[in-house]
Amino acid sequence: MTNEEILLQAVDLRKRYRRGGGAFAQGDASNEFTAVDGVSLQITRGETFAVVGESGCGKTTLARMLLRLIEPDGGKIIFAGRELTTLDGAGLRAARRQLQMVFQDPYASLNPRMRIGEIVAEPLAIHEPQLSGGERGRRAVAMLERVGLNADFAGRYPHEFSGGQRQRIGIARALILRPKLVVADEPVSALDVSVAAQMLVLLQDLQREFGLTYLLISHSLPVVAQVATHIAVMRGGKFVEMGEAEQVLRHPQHAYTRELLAAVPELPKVRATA
Amino acid sequence: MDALLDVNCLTVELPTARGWVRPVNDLSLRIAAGETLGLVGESGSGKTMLSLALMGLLPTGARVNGEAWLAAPSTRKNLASLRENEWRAVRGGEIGMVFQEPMTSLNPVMRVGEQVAEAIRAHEAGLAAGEVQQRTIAALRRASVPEPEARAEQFPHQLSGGLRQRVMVAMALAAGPRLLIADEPTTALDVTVQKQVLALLDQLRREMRLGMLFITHDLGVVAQVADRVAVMYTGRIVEHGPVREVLTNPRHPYTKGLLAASPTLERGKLEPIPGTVPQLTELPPGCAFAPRCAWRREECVVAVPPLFVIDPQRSNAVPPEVGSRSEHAARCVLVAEDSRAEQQEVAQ
Repeated sequence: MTNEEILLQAVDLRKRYRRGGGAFAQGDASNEFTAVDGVSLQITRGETFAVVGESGCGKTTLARMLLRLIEPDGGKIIFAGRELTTLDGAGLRAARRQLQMVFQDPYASLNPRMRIGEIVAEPLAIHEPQLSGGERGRRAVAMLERVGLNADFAGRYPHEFSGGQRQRIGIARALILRPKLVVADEPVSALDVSVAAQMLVLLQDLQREFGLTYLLISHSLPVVAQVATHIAVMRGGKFVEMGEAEQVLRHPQHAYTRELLAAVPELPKVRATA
Repeated sequence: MDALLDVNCLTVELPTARGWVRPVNDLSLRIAAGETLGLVGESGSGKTMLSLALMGLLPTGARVNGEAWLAAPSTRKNLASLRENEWRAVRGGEIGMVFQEPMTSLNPVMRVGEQVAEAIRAHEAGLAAGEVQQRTIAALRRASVPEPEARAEQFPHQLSGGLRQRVMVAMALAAGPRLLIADEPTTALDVTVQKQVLALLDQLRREMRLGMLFITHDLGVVAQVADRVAVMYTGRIVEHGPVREVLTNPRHPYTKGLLAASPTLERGKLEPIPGTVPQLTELPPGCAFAPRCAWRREECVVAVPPLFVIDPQRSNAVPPEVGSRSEHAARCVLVAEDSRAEQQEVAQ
């Protein structure tokens, strides 16, 4: 049962980029590209809110703005009752404890020079400096085991692991602070089919165990269909459709949503064996 | 079957720090003109090594055994034993290849028209410049590139991913090959663009009577584009057959596992396959899938099972003719048992 607490609210978020440019660029509108064009959304505690769209639609820019990894040009973000857009310094750091991200590229998102035990323990070093090194290490190992990796992997380096394992390390790092909201940006698109399936099941198990809320960014409607409670379809920086997952998938209202659904290659059903 | 490509017991061996491994292990398959064979596998299955072997692009030090006969106008060629100077005529001229990442396969500092022209000139040296230009535009038009004359003057970065892939297709087919090898050609594309590129490949296959080897990890894509499908695991084909038959009646546990693990638009039960693909240097004894298999028996670890044909009328003592159009076979002892049971039922 999800309680009705609204965990994250975005109001009319905007982000513009200047195309071309350099020191002599004119500031006129023709040089500007709007990546996010007035997006509003509301995520309730316990949900999995998915933003689905094709390349260039602005979904990754949106995800990064919600974590203030990129600064919005307009709009507000309210997280757990506080306005994220005006926070800085200690306030932002405190908010970031509750708002973590799992990145798309398991090969680029881990520091290749750190052992994975250190990578997973690093958020603790930053946000819970009162903990001893030993305690940090213990919690990191516990988290690694929770995501399905052996305790003795803690001393190894990222390059020694497969893509699926590295994604698990990224998840362990994101969860070690017990955040309220996890933004997962294309968490399985770089993974093989069977590894991706393991990852989705793991993410759902962890959601139940830790009471997590997810914002899932994906280009894949089938992946989204498996885990989302709510779906927003994004194109050209705007949401063209938003609603409960079942509704959007079964009764799409917008032509673009219908186009996306129609383009998914269909798998015939396996015959039930006697 | 009149095979355009007839691969027979092909093995590729690579030297590693821990000894020789076989990313392609005693593999046989056939493709006829006008037919698409889908090759499905995950990382470590050997599907890319196979395509590299068929294009003579294996890393230095690789050893190839077996045969891969390509039907040629005058005489057959065994791709497994070609020398480098012989490969230059085959690549592009008789076999075209389309890769996954069009941005890294295209030269970023060369206009796309010039790149297609280069492919044409490489195989027909004597053509006049005007003729090359005409063929270039024709190749782009055939690949459904809109406004081909204008696009030919553009650089790759000025084109979208889908258009770049069409340019790749135009280049691959420019010199008129009869076999096209497409290695994950739509994996990096948006799904709406993917649909268009798949439709294009299918149309060209029919118009040009191409044989196509379509390599992918996506079973949905295979369902859409292939006539027959072969599933690879650690270097071997573990199941093959008509695509609809294999996808609705999978007989190898790995195929069943892949289907159960593939997400669809229906929020159903996604079932992962337990465990991971073994490293080629650490293959288990017998059937390579056995450690992850819910149905494994003692006999599974004794020896690698042969491909058993799924057909109650046929005796499994005869090795199946790989690639006959309607044959469905799987490398699993359970299939042999089922067939014997079916044979007994039929006989009664």
